Amino acid sequence: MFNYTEAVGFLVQASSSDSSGANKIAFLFLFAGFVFYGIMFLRYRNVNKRHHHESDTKSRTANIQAGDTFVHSRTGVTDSNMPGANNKQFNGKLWGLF
Amino acid sequence: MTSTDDGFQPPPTQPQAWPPPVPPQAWPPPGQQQPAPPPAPQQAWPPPGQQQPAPPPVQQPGQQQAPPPGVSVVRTDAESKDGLTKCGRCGATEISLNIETGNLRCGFCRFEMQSPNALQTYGLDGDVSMLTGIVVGSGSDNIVPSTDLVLTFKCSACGADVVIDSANSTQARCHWCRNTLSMNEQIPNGAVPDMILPFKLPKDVAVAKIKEFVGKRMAFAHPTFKAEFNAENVMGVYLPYMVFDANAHVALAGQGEHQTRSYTVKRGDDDVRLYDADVYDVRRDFSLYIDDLTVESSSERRDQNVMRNSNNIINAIMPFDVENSVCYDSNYLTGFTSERRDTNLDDLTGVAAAQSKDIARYRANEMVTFYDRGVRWDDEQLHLVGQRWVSAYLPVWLYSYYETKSSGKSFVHYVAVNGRTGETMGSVPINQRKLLLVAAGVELLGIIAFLLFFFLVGG
Repeated sequence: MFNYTEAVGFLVQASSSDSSGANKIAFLFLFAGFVFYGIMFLRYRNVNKRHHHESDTKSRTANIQAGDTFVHSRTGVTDSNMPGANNKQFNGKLWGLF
Repeated sequence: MTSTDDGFQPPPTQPQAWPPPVPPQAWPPPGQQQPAPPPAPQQAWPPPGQQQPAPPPVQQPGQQQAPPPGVSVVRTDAESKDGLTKCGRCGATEISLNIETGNLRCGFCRFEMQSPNALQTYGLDGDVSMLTGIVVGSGSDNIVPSTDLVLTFKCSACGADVVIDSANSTQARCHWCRNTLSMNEQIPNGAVPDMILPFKLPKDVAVAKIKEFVGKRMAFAHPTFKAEFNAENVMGVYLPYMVFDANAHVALAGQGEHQTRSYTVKRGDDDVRLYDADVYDVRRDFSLYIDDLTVESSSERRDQNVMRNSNNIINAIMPFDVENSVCYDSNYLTGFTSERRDTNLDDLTGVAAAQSKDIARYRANEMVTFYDRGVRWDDEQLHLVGQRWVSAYLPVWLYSYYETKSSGKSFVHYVAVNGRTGETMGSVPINQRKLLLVAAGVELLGIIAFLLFFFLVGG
C-alpha cells in the first residue's frame, strides 16, 4: 500500500544535501522531465553561452605580494566548499542567465 | 553596412555636370575586360604615389575634436585618403578581399596588395607594462551626434558627385563612370575604425559549419524553421568592437579556507561527510597586464538580455586574433556588410573595468591554490595605470532567422561563425509543443522509476 507521508519523507531526505548517492538518483528520477526540458532548451537556445573573457583574454601578472594571516579553525562543517566563496564567480558578462 | 551600389540615384543638384568629363587615363570599359594574368607578387599597400588624392568632400564632415586632458590620440588615418583607391598595377578600383590569402585583390588584373599590420604600423602594440595614461586610436574618438552620416564626395575620375551613406557603407559606386569610391578618413560618426581583421574562413566552410550545427538540433526545431532553413543565406558581417589593453594594479582582500580534515560520521542510518578547515585573512597585490580584451561597441550587440535577443551567441564565438588586424581600407568591406560603432569609450569603460576585475580574479586563483575550499574576496581594487583603446571591425559569418511567435512577438535567432577561427554557436527556435510532450513522457517514466525505487529501497 502506498504511504503518502513516507513517500514525502523519502523525498525530503533525498533532496537534502547530506543524502546518500542512491537517494539522490531517486530524486533525479522524480524531476527527469524538467531536467530533460532544461537540457534540451539549453542545447537549442544556448542562452548560457558567452565569451569567457576572464580566461580567453591574454594577460599576465607581476610584482605579486601576499599577506595571509591565520584567523581560526572550523570543525565539523557539512559543506565541502567555503560559504560565500566568490573567487570563481565572474561578474563582467554583459547579461545572461548563468 | 553594405558595399553595394543598390539604390543610388543621380544627384539632382548637378544637371549641368552631364555629361561629366571622361577621365583621360585608360579604364577598362564594360565588356572589354582582359583575361586575368597570373597572380602578381605581393606588394605593400598602398604603393607609393598610387593613391590618387581625392578632393575634399563637398559636404564637410564633422571636425575632429580636441582630446580630453590626459588622453593621447594616435592618428590611424593620416595616410588614408577618401575617393578612388586604385590597383597598383592596372588602376582599377574594383578591389576586394581574397579570403585565401587575406590580401586585397584587383578584380581585373588579379594583382594582390597586402595591407600592413595595424597595431605595428601605428605603434599600438607596445609593451602593456609600460603603458600609462589613456591612449586611443583616432578611430575610437567620441561620436559627435551632429556629424552627418550622408556624405558627398566628388569622383576624381569623372567629376560627378557621389553620395556615401556612412550609416550603411563606406563605399559607393560612381553612377556615371562606375568607379568605386571609398571613405577611409575618419570622421566622428564611428563609421571608419582604426583597424580591420579580414575574413579568413571562406563562405562554403561557414555554410558547412552552420549546417552541421543546426543539423544536430533538428529533432525539436520549430517546423517552420526546419522548412525555411537555408544555410546559404549566411552573411559576412564586420561587427564593431573595441580592443582594450590595460596596465593595472590590483589589490584583493578577503578570507580563504584551507581544508585540514575530512571524515565520515554516522547520523541515524546515514553516513555524513564532515570537514575541518582553517580560516585565513588573505591579501594579494599584483600588477596585471591585459592584452586585447575585446568588447562590443554597437549598442544593439551590447544588449545581451537573452529574453529579448540572441546577441549572446555572437559574444560566444570570441576571441578573435585581433593582433593580426590590418590598417583599415574600405575595400575589405566589398561583398560583406558591416555595422557602425555607435558607442563611446565612456560607455564602455565600465564594462572593460568589470571584465578586467574578472581577469584579476581569474589570475588571482593561481595565487591562492592553498585555499582549496575557496576564497571570498570582500574588497577588490583595480587601478588602471594605463589603458589603450583601438576600434576594430571583426569578421562574423551570421545566419539570422526571424521567428514570429504565436503570441505575435518576434525574436531573431542567430547562428554565428567566427570569420577567423570557425568557432560556431547558435540559437535554434524550438518546437515547444513537441518538446513539452516528450518532456512530459520522460517525467512520467521518471515518476514510475521513483516509485519503484521508493518501494524497493526507501519503503
